[in-house]
Amino acid sequence: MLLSVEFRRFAARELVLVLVVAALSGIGMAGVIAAVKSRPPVAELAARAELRAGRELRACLAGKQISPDELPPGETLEEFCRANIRPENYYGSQQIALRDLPNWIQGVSFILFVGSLVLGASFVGAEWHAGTMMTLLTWEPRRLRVMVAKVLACVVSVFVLAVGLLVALSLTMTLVAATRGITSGLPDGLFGSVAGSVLRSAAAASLASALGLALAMIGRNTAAAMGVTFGYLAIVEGLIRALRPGWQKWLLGDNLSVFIMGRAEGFAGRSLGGAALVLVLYAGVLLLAAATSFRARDVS
Amino acid sequence: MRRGSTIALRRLDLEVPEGGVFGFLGPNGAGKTTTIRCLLGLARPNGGSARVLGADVARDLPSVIRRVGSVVETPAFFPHFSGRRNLLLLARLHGIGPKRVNAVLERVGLAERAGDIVKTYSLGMKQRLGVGAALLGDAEVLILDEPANGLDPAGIVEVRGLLRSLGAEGRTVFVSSHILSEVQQIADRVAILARGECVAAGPVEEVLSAGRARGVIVRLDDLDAGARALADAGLRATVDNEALRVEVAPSEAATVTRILADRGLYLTELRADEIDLETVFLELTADESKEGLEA
Repeated sequence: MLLSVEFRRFAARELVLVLVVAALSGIGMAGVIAAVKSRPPVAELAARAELRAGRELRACLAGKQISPDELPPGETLEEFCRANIRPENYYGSQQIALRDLPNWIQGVSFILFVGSLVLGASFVGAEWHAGTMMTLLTWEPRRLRVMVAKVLACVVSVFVLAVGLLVALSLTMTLVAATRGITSGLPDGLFGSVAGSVLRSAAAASLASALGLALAMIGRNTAAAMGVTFGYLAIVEGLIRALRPGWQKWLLGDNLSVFIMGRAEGFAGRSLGGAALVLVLYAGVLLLAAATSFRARDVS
Repeated sequence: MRRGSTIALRRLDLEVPEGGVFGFLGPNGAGKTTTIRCLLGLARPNGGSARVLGADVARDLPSVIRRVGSVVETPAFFPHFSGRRNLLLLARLHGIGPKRVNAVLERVGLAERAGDIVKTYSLGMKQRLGVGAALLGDAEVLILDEPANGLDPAGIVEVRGLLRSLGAEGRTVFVSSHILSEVQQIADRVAILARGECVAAGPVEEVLSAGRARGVIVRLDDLDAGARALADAGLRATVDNEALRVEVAPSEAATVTRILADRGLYLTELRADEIDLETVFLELTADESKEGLEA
């Protein structure tokens, strides 16, 4: 019952509605702008791109673009060149290309992260502000249950919302690419890559909401949670990057970048799995601190 | 119960009997709301224990919480949800259906405005909604912190009637209030709290009589002659505000009439010197009020 009430309350929040409408409007506007700016490639442009790609491919096969020791493990020079050098790469920047879809998804992940952080923080911050946390606890005094229900309702709802918005973005851009851009030359496994990007970005959004919720539970305030997060990401992590580069692989921002981009080759000293583990660990520790604070402190 | 360096409650030993209305009085800062918070598990005392319906609050409150309805301070609701939606969300927590929500809204006089968002409610309406929330679960025990706060006179009368009827139904209504006349009219028993300590507790009549002895007020033309006549008969009488205050039980008023009439002194007024709860309250908490003024 408690969980279902929390889900209902999350779904009925005005801020959720406002952010979803804003996000959908943004996607719609991005689609319109992309459609207006993109021009379908004409035959002359395609021929020119074909010619240039042929030239680049020959140079690549001759080993002029990449040395054998730089090749990805298990890949031959020919496989690498044919996979990466395609005529579509040389159409210019005026066309929306469907193959860039994973990059667009990763590009909006930061906005999604911030929005989810606000949603998570305000989900409990608003309760403390309005005093409804006290009302709720007079109905359900088991605080740990209350906390777990709130976290679950928040992270699951944010995940579903994020997936929905990213699917809407993907469909919009696919439509634009199909009507006004380029849909040829798609790399193998594009669908898997898009699905992976959507799921990882949505998971990062869920994580952001959990972090926001935990901080707002500790500070009993939405603004404090937001201030602490942005202060930490912008100032503390910035200083650490500058003064202690060796610690970079432990930073939230860097692990988040690795996770969202899905790079498995060890960017920032982390593998994808390692970054995911670090993020889950950080969220877990913060939620545990929030639960401890919530259980121990008086409610007034 | 300690808050920082301040002791909020000290040696508070209070038992609320089952059924009826129990008034919990005290000046601001006496510890009424802190006591209520302790009873509802919202605040944890440094020492001692509290039990509600026989359950230890620290360990077993969840087992009895469905039988307890409460309002703590100004009731808090989601401001952008309607009154009905707020109650529906709470009701759902305990598996209570919308029919009961509608019945409660009707009972607290909010049926017509139930669809409006709480943000548009007056303080009095929020208070009614709070009382409504407390009534949702058909609770055996109602713990209400200043339920008449913010209500207009008509609303106060309604809440008074509501609390009285709830007590008459056999529920235990624990109500804190600073409106002493209200408590006196509805409560069967009271406790008076000052500086975190209980300074008086018991049935209203007992607490009233403990304040100072009852007497009768007598008005006549010659107050001094009247006082002398009564003193000669062994009754203590003092001139007080152009009348005589005679220390005798109101049931013995006939004796006063006879003594004065025997001396040719005739009364223009005779009435019982009733002490109200407000007087007792002010007397019992006099030091605290004084400290508050000095501070």
